[in-house]
Amino acid sequence: MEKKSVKKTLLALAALLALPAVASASNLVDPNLKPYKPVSGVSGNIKSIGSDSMNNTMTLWAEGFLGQYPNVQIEIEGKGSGTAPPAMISGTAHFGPMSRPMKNEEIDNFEKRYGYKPVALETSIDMLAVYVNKDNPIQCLTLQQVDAIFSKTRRGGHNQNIRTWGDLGLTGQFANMPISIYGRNSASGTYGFFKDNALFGGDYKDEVKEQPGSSSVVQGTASELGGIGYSGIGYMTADVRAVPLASTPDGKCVSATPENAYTGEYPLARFLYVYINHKPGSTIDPLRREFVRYIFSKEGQEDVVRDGYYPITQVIAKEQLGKIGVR
Amino acid sequence: MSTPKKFTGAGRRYTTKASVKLLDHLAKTLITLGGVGTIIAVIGVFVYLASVVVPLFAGADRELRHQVTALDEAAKSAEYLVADEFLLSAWVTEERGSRIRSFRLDNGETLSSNELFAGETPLAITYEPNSQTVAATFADGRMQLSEVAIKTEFILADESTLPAEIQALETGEIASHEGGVVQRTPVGQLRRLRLEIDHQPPIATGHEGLVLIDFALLSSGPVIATLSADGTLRVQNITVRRNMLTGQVSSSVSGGELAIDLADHGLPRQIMVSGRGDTVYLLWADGHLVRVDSRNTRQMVVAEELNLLPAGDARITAAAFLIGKTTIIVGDSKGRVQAWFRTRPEGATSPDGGVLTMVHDLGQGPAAVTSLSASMRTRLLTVGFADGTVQVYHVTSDQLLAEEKAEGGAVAAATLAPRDNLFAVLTPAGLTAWDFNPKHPAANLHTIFGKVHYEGLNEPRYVWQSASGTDDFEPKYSLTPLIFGTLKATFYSMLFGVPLALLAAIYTSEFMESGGLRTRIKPLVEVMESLPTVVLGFLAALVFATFVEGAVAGVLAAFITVPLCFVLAAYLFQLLPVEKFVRMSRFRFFFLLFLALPAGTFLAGQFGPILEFLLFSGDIKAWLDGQVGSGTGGWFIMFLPVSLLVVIFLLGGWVNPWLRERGANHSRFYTGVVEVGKFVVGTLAVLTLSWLLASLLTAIGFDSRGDFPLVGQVMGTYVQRNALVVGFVMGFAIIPAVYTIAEDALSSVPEHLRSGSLAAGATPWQTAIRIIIPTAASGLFSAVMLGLGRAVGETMIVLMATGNTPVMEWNIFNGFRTLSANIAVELPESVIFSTHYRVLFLAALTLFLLTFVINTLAEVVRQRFRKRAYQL
Repeated sequence: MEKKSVKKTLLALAALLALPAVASASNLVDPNLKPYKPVSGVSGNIKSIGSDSMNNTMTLWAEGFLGQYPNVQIEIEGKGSGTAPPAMISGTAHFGPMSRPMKNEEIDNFEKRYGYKPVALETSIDMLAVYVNKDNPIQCLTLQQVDAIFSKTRRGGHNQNIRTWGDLGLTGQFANMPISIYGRNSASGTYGFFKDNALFGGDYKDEVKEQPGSSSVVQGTASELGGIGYSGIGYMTADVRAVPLASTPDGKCVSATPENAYTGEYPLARFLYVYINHKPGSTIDPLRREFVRYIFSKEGQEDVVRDGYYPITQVIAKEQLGKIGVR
Repeated sequence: MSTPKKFTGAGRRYTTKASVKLLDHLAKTLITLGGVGTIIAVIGVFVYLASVVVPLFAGADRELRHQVTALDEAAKSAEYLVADEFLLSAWVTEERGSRIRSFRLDNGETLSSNELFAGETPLAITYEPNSQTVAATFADGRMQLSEVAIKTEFILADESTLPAEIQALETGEIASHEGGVVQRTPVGQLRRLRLEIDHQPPIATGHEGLVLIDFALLSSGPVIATLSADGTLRVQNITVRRNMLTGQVSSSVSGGELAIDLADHGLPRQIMVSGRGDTVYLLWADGHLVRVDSRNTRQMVVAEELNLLPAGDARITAAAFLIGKTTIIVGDSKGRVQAWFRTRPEGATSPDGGVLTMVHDLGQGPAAVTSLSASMRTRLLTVGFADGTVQVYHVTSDQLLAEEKAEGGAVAAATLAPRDNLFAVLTPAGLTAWDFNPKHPAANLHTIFGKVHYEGLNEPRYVWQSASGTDDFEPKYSLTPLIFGTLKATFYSMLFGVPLALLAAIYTSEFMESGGLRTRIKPLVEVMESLPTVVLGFLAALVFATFVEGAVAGVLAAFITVPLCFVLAAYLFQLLPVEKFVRMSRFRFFFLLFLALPAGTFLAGQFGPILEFLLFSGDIKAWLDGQVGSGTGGWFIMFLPVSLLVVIFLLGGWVNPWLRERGANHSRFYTGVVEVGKFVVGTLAVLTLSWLLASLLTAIGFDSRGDFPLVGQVMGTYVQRNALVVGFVMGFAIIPAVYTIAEDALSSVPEHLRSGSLAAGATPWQTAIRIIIPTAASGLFSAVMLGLGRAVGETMIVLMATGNTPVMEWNIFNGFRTLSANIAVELPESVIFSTHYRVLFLAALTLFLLTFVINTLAEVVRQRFRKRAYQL
């Protein structure tokens, strides 16, 4: 027993230290995306304040951008999505990466100061996966079942509360095993997204163990046979398994693969945003323009893949650049 | 002054040197400044916290903004009134939805007036404010969804080409322009607000006479419900999906029908689709309501039928959804306004397990309710009455925030502006609008500390669930579970930490043989304090929690075997011949540390599975979950300390004196054997007594895993991150603080008391128990209080090692959420100066007061102790 727990601990530590798994190379990136071509006359400072889950991506973009323009200085602060709007309003940040869309109240405050709304650029795609322990035999969950596991209000419409794995039809040692639920902390964008989409806007059970980071959700799920949790797909480790999900009780089970995110079949895919202060009708300054162009270039999207998220496609990139008048 | 020399040659100075005086003065000033500064800083913290919290309880503000009589007659009787987000203009529907007009809010000037559906009058029409969409049906069976919204655009053209009055606009000023209103923004741009209508392609249903329509716009597409005059309810679910690779949009339609019996009540007055499209409500004017379960549109069933007006003397005159389209607000001809939503009580017989329940009775208005309008972002509700009165309610907290009366008679339409910053009504006299600031209606003393019946819950509860990604969420700000969590964390960590720390302090100060060791132990324990709590939390979550989970029974057994081994070792020690005993005494500490402790731990590992088998049917987690076994095992564990006290009392009262009498003439070894025998018998007696009590309670019918009044569930489902783990690790964190103060208190007991007691023939044990501890009692007390203060405010251990679950159970095997951890988690992400932000500051204030009171109390007691110690 002693030995086993030591091994478990080491595994847990390894899981915690491991960076988000790197998805299979850059073949995920849309081949239609163009490589970045540097232009002349770009210099100055860039400051970004916002989401911690996008901190790594932001850093990768900054590194890539600095490779093109050594004279530029970039400062990145990642303390949470909530820190982006105040920084954008006071003008201390040029970019506000956020893992959730801005709330009305935040947009109101921005608009009070500038008279127009901030522009949200959809820069990458994150998929939330529902993880179970790797030894758990469950094959598929409908969103209604997920709702009945995680939520006390069950707005998804499942009639009974689901408390044990036996309630989901598992037998043997799982038949009477209580489900041990892990989730993200209540302020994170992931928490809100899961609440709106998997819980149908309902309330989490009080028993959901809120963990301070995505990796500790995965670690918790890995350490308990009866565990279940949700996190970004980039945090998957060998000790957990992402369960395929079905949107409706009689629907098809869809696994968390990038293809299913792009076709829109996987129900828990979301965009990650970078907010930018762009006065409608004005021409954006070259420094910010080039940084945004870098984000939506082939290189920029390869960085996204390197950080464990999924890249956006040429169609979306064009749309986003159009929002700030860049072709 | 001169200094007279003495004959010894040594002089005595009678004046103080100026430099010393100066230094003295300086030090005095500095210390005073420091002290006063500290007090000011603490008061400053308090004042700052309070200044953020106080606005939370301020009442709503409102002020008359516009009173417009110069409004077109047709607009005054409109059914829908919708203001734009900048409070410049509004639109109304006229002539049963065939025309639409937009006008300026400040002077009523018509900006545009058009046919809404190219001259056709719809058969049924409905407007959904959150999606800004109108749905209508027509005589030929068409359905039409149209986005109707006042949209903002920026005038990008060269300003010199615009009319002079527009060019002359200052920041904030407005003027009419090309069917819209133009306003100068704070950064100097011109924005124009104009009503825009975007018709989506009509849907031909092929069914004529669709007399009622409603819809819900899901992220996947609309769900549309219609009722035809013959009583057929049709629900269509349109799913729109976009392929991100190709940009292609594909849509699919599914739907079904259900025949509704119209014989008894006639045609309903309204059809309503819930926000998720999973329920359709049909509402009759006499109060009859049919709830249809439309989760599967191909097989819809009537979930329940009920009467919303059981008194039968009134008629329903208005009905609307609150934001999220889950709660139905119903207003009747008597002026009553009530909020209903679906709950799921145990044993409900409806097909979807739900029962529509009246949850909020908002009270009695002055006249019949004529119009209801819900906020687009919070749970505010505007109610218009037949006498021109308008009221604004916050539904969750049942609060009336504002009440005003408009001139001219019955309210035709009431509205709340998109940002909740204005409410307006249309009466025959025109439009009246009030500026409005609801402040923080979601938080008042009742919602923060009391039980509230939130949407979807079966009964009023204490809930903390503050954040979400969207606005249609009902924020739940009950601090009660957090305060409970703080107390629970404190209780369990004190349970582990305090006895250990106090006993350790007593041992080191009174019984430790080697003085050298003693002087080393204290700094060592204090070094424990320098361990960052975040490291402790990390270890607790990753190492300790997983270890305990793998060996729950073993850990429980350790609580029995380790103390048992210590005491047993002490008894066995007595068996040694007296000269050896004396010689070995100095190594007592090492014996205990290196023999008794490992033996106890080892026995716990061996004994754990046996305990699990005997008490918990072989699987403690299943037992805790209530799946196997009876409550006896749990009672047994709970009664162990009680039985122990009883047996000790009995032994001390009767057996010990008796033994002492008999043992006077026996050899030392013989007495030692008898003592060991007594210990074994006593242990068995404790176990037996505890078992008897446990069986008795089980026989009466109490299960130790049950829910008890006052304390709730004490033993329940095992959760990996639980109070046992946190109590252990947090206990570890408070030990240094408690130990240091306690040790100081004990060793500052004057030596003459100790010597006196020993000289009078008392044993060290008697001296410690009867003399030292009572003398140092208040010092020990203040040590405990300081530990308490530390435990209450502890953040990182709790944050990392518990699940931060806001449950309200004393169950040692599940988690909790403390005030401090909650602040650490949520404050960085909350919108500054929002209700949530201020409630978190209230939590901080509560915590501040809690620790302040505890520390003050500890300090007061300590002062008393010092005074007493001086007197001795």
